[in-house]
Amino acid sequence: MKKISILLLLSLLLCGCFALRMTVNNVGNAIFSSPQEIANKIKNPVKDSVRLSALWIGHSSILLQIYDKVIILDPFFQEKLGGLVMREKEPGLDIESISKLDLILISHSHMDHLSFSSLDKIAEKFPGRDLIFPKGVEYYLPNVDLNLIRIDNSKSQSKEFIGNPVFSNGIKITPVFALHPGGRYAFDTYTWKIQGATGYMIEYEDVTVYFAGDTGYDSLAFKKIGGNFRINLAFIPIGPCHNCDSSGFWFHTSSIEALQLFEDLKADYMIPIHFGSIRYFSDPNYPLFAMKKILQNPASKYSHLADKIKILKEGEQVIWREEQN
Amino acid sequence: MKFFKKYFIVLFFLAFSGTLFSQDLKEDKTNMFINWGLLQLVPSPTFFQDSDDNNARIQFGLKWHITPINISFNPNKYVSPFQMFMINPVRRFTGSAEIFVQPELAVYSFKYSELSIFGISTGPRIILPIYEKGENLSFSIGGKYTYRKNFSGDRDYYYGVEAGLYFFGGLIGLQYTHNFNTRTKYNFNFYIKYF
Repeated sequence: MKKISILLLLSLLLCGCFALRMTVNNVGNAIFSSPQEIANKIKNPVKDSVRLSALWIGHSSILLQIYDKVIILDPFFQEKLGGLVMREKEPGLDIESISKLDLILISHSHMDHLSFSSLDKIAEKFPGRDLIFPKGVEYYLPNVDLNLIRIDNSKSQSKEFIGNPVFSNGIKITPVFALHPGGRYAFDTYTWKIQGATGYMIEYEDVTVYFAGDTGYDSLAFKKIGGNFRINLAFIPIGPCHNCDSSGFWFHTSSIEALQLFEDLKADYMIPIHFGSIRYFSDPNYPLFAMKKILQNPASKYSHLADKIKILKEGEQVIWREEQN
Repeated sequence: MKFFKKYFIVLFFLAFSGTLFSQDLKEDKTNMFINWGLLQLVPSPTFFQDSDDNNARIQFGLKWHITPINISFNPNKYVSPFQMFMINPVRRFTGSAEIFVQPELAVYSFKYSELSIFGISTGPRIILPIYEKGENLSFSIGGKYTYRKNFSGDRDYYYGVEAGLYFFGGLIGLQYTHNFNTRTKYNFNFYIKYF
């Protein structure tokens, strides 16, 4: 029986079931600790006379404002991921502080991007708002009091890399390529193979924002996307990565790949996301340290990007005013 | 016991052999059905009561879970409330009713209750969400009817009621069954089912 247990455990690890390893690493924290509090949370994140603003809620969650439109990206306000993994820091914004919301975007169905209770809270405060998600996510989406809009991302997941847009409240949303699997419960990624991940290009008035969601790096795809859009701001995930100055881990961009992705996109600014809150297998801030090290190295081919990268803390907001056009 | 060891080893590697290191995430229905079918063979460890008028003991066995039909109470507009066999976890744990079939196999014979090692039970149950829309914790209650032969080869039927608690998307849980049969009044199992 002992041999069987060992074999089963090894098989799980071999299956790339890092969700299991994550759980084992974090279960103690989930029971005995609580997330670090964020001091001085912004109480009025929706501002007047804003051309573009971004408030990093934490992990991949962002409150984005483009002129009068307010969009929330991958809202994740839960304390625990999957009930078992405690986040390191609490969300940098309270839903109650959001005074206006026009649109919710979900990039894929993984638990750190599609949070049921967060959607419930948003639906309670902003019932009937548009919720856009890629094809495949409907299998993992409970019925919530929001206007569900499934976007067809099959074209963007093909060699064309850019899909057909949809409009919501005058905001143009185009699905773009993301190298990431769908699924939610560890093995279903392998067994059901439901595709359901996308990046988004968000266009309103003269502003274009790219939200990667979660993605691995693909040179051809991101160069093409960069050639087709004039991007003002790009939200690009860094990590998780075992060795962040080389390749990423399982369909994720490492710090160095995220910088290359940013360069391919030719965007004005980048805000790194997908770090800091969830302990995958090492310090959740390791991808950020690695990125800073690359940027500070004068010999690095990415050092010239340093001024274009806005590193936010959880709860911090960056604002470009209308007169800053 | 050797049989079970081999069973576990072969099952686990077969279930993932086709997809273990695959980077190709395109939908592949055949592969999906094969993997799903093999994963359904993963059993749930079960403890049965085995008793007569003077003796009683706990008997270890295995149980499998088949869901011929599940009807979701509140699916989103893009998916059907009706599902057969391959049951989507979200539609199940957010609130649903289902018919289940459970083959059961005891490792050793029921020497006191004089029942055969193999049995099969079926019945209806409802699943209701408790926490995080049921994903982190859901609850079920149902009734069941069990068929099992006795040592003389005659058929033996009995009714029961069952309740369950499920975690992590309904992938794992605990189930308790109370049978209206004095020889095997209760059984308790760890619930393992990959949808």
